[in-house]
Amino acid sequence: MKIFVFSQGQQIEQQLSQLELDNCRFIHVTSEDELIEHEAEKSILIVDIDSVKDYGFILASKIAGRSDKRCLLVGITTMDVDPRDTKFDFFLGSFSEIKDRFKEIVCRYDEME
Amino acid sequence: MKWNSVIKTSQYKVAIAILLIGFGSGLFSFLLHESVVKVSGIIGTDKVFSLSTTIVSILFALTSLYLTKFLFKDTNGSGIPQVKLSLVAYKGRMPKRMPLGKFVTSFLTLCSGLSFGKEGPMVTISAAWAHLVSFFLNLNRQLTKVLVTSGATAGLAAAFNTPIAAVVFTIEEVLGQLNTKYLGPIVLTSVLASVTSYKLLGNHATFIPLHYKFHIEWHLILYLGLGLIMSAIGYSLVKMIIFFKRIKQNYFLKIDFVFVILAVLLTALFSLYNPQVLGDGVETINSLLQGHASHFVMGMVILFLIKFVLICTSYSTGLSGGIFMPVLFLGALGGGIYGLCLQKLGINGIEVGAFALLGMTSLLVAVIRTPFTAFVMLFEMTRDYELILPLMISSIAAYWISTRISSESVYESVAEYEGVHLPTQADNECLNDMVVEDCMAKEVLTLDADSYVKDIVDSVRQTDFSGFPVLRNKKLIGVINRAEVLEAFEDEPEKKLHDATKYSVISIYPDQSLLVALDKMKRFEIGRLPVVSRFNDKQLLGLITPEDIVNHLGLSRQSGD
Repeated sequence: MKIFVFSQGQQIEQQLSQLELDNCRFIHVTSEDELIEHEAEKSILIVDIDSVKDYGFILASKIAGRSDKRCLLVGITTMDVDPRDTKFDFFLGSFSEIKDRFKEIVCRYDEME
Repeated sequence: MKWNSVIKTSQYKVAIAILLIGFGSGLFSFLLHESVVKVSGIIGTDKVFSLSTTIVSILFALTSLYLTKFLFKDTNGSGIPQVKLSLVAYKGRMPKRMPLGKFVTSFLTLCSGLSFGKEGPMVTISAAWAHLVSFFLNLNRQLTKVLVTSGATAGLAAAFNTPIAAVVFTIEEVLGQLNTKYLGPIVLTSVLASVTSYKLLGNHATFIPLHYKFHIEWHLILYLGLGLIMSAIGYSLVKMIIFFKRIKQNYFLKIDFVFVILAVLLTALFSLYNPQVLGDGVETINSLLQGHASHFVMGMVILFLIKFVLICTSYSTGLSGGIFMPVLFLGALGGGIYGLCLQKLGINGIEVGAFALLGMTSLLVAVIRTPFTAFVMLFEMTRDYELILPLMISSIAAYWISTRISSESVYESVAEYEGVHLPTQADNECLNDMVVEDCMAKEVLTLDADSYVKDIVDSVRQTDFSGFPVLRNKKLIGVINRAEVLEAFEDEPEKKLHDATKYSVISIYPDQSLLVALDKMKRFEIGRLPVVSRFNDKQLLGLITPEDIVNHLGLSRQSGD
C-alpha cells in the first residue's frame, strides 16, 4: 500500500511510525508534480494542511474531480478552518488522530476499487 | 377559522400544494384526453380527411399557431425543454398563463390530426400548474423548484398512467440527477396524479396488457440488432426534424402559416392512403403489439415512411404538441417490420408483437435518450413483466449506440438549433471537476475602506470592473459595486468608503468547484465572488465572475482542440 504524505514537515511520518505497519510504503512529496506520475495508482494521500495551507484543499479538489480517482484523501489540520464542502475523504483535527483512525482509513482503502 | 391561519406553516402549505398538483394534473389529463377524443370525433380528424375536415383542421392548427405567437408565448413545441430551462435558469418560474395557454394550444393541435402526442404538453401544463399553486401559496424559490419538478412528474404520470416511469423520467431527463430532497414530493404527486387520472378515465394500461415470454436466449442478439437499427432511425428522425425546421426558417419565415397549412394538407393526403397515420396512433400500436401486423412488409414500410415524414413535418411546425407517442408509434412499426422480416427468414420463435414493443423502447431511447424511463414506461404501459430483460437489453443497446452517433437528444438538438443551450449532465460534471482557483482573477483592483469616495471615483470610472472588494489593513471587510460608488459620489463625495460598503460578504474558497461558484452567484443574485482563504476569511486571494468561468471554459476548449 502506497501512502503519499504531502507536507513541509515530518509530523505525519512521526505519528505513523508509532504504528506497526506492514506492507506500507511512505513517499514524502512536496509538490503536485511529484504526484502526477503516481496518479493512476491506488493509494492514500495524507495532506498536512497546516504546512501547505489552502493549496492542500485545492489539491484535494483537483484529485477528487478526476474521473479515474483512485486515491483516498486524508486532510489533517490543527488550525481553525472552515471544513464545509471539502473533498477530503477523511478530515482530521489533530496529528495524533491519524493513529486512532488509521484502521478505519485502511478499511475504506480496501473497499476502493 | 381563517384560511390563512390553517396554512400558516410551510409544511402545511407544501402538503396542500402536493394535493393540488396531483389532483390538478390528473384532472387536466382527463380533460385534455376527453376533449380531444370528443372534438376529433365530431370534426372527423380521426379518420380519412374530407374537404371540410381538412379546412377545419387547418383552422384549428392556425388558431393554435397564432395563439402561440401572440397570446400564449412559450407554449410552442413539446414544452419539456421549457420546463428544464425554467428549473435551471429561472428558479422554477413559469409564465402564469402557461397552464391555460398550453392546454388550449395543445387541444387545438391535437384535434387537428397532426402527428403529436399529449404527454409533452401534459408535463408542461402540470409543471406550470405547480408553479401557479406555489405562487398562490407564497412558497419560496427552493420549494417552488421542488414543486415544479413534481408537477412535471405528475403530468407524465397522468398522461400515460405510468407513475413509476414518470418518477424515473424526472430523475433522468428533467433533473439529470437523483436528489433525495425532490424524491418525496415527486413520488407523491406522481401517485396522486395517476390515481386521479385512472379514477376519471378508468384503470387500464395505456396499451393492451401483453403476455409475451422471453424463452430463447440467443434472441438477445436479435434485440441488439434491433437496438442498432433503431439508433440509426432515431438519428435520422432528429436530423430530418432539424432539416424541416431549416426549410421553415429559410423559406417560410414570414409566412409560417403556409408551412402549417402544408403540414395539414400532407396529413390529409396521407390519411387517404391509410388513416392509421393520424394523431398519436394508439389503436394501431395496440394492433401491432398484439402481433396483428400486416403480412405485407412493403405495406408496413410505406406506413412507416409516411409516419416518419408526418412526425418531422408536424414537429417542425413548432406547434404545441409532444413527440413521445408518435415516436412510440414509429418504433412499433419499425420493430414490427424487423420481426416480420425475421419471421420471413424462417427464424423460429419470433413474435412480431414482442418486437414491436422492443422497437418502441429502442426508438424512444434513441430519440429522447432516457433508457431507464423507456423500459420502465413500456413495462408499465403493457404490464408484461416477462419482457423486462429484452426491454432492458434493447434500450441500453440503443442508448449506447445512439450516444456514439450523436450526443444530443431531440430536445437538445432542436433547442440548440433555436439558439438555446439546455443544461446537460456533462455541463454539471465539467463545472464540478474544475476548481475556483483555476479561473479566478488573482490581480484584483481593491479599494481602501478609509479612502474618501471623491478620491477613488476616477479610478473606478477608468476600469471595466463592476465590483470591488474593500479592504482595511489588507483584510477584506466588504464589497462595493460601481453603481454604489458613483451614487455615493453624487450624494456625498466627502463620505468615507467604509460608510458606503456592504459588510455582509458572500465569498468562496479557492478549492470549491465552479458549479458551487455559479450556484452561489445565482442564489444570492450577485455578479462576483471574492475568493478567500479557508484559514482566514478576511484574506482575499482573488475574485471570480461568471465571465471568468466562461473565458476559462473557452480557453480550455481551445487547448483541448
